Amino acid sequence: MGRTVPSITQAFIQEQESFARFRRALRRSDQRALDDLFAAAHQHLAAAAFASHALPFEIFLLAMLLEEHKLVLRLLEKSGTDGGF
Amino acid sequence: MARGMRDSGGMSGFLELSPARLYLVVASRPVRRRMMTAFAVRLALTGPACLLDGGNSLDLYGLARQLRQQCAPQEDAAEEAVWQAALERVTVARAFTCYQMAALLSAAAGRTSNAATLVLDLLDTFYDESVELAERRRLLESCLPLLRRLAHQACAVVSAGTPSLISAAPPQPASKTGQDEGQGMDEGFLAMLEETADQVIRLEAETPSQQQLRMF
Repeated sequence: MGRTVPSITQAFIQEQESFARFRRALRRSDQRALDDLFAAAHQHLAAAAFASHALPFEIFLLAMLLEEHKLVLRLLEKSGTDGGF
Repeated sequence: MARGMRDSGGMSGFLELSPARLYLVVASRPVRRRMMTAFAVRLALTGPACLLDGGNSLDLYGLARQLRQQCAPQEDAAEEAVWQAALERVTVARAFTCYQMAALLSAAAGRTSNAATLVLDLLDTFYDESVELAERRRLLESCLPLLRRLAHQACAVVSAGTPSLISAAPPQPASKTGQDEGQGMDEGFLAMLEETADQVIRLEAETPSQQQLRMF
């Protein structure tokens, strides 16, 4: 019967490919940073699939934000300040 | 134009649908897919829309994305609420055989509702060679009055195309009985649909430009 809706991995790859021209226009260092963001979102594909959101890119953005915030928290912990959290 | 809707690139005139009319979209598969998604968005913004998918070709994520883009915030409701309401007005049903498609159309025509009907890739299930040609033709003939009835309830848009080549092998010789003559080809189904439709919209895929791209 086949799939009726693309899997979350397919949706992720499609979204990533839609930014190919944007990525190409970036500096090499910025390209690496962008790749890191997508890699961060890739870690949460299972959660994104479970969310079954009509707009999966919103979930991918939130997953990127989540990883960034985890990094901030880790850095704050290392520096010994709570940063107001 | 409905409240809370944005016109995207002058497409609104082209996508204008008159009530009680049956439209047929004939194009290549990717163009049909884009076109029917645009029609679905258009109809969902103004009222209920019933999508019957015969080719498993509905782009649901694309539909949701376009609806979000076209839903503008209103005075009395947030953008999210408008978008969610438009999304909830869309009903999707899928058929994987011509029998299922005939049953879906019969059920939809039996309901008295003001929902506009979109039938995606209607003929895909009818090109299935595992069903006898005479049977497929009989089923399609029974579906045509149902499409007319659906069009009279609100409006109906049907998309269809010719069967795509899936094998490079030479075609099978026609059977001696002549019953299977014409199998694997168009079988005249598209012409039957075109005769039934009030308006046929033919679209061709954009040919890639031969001009060399600029480097800067």
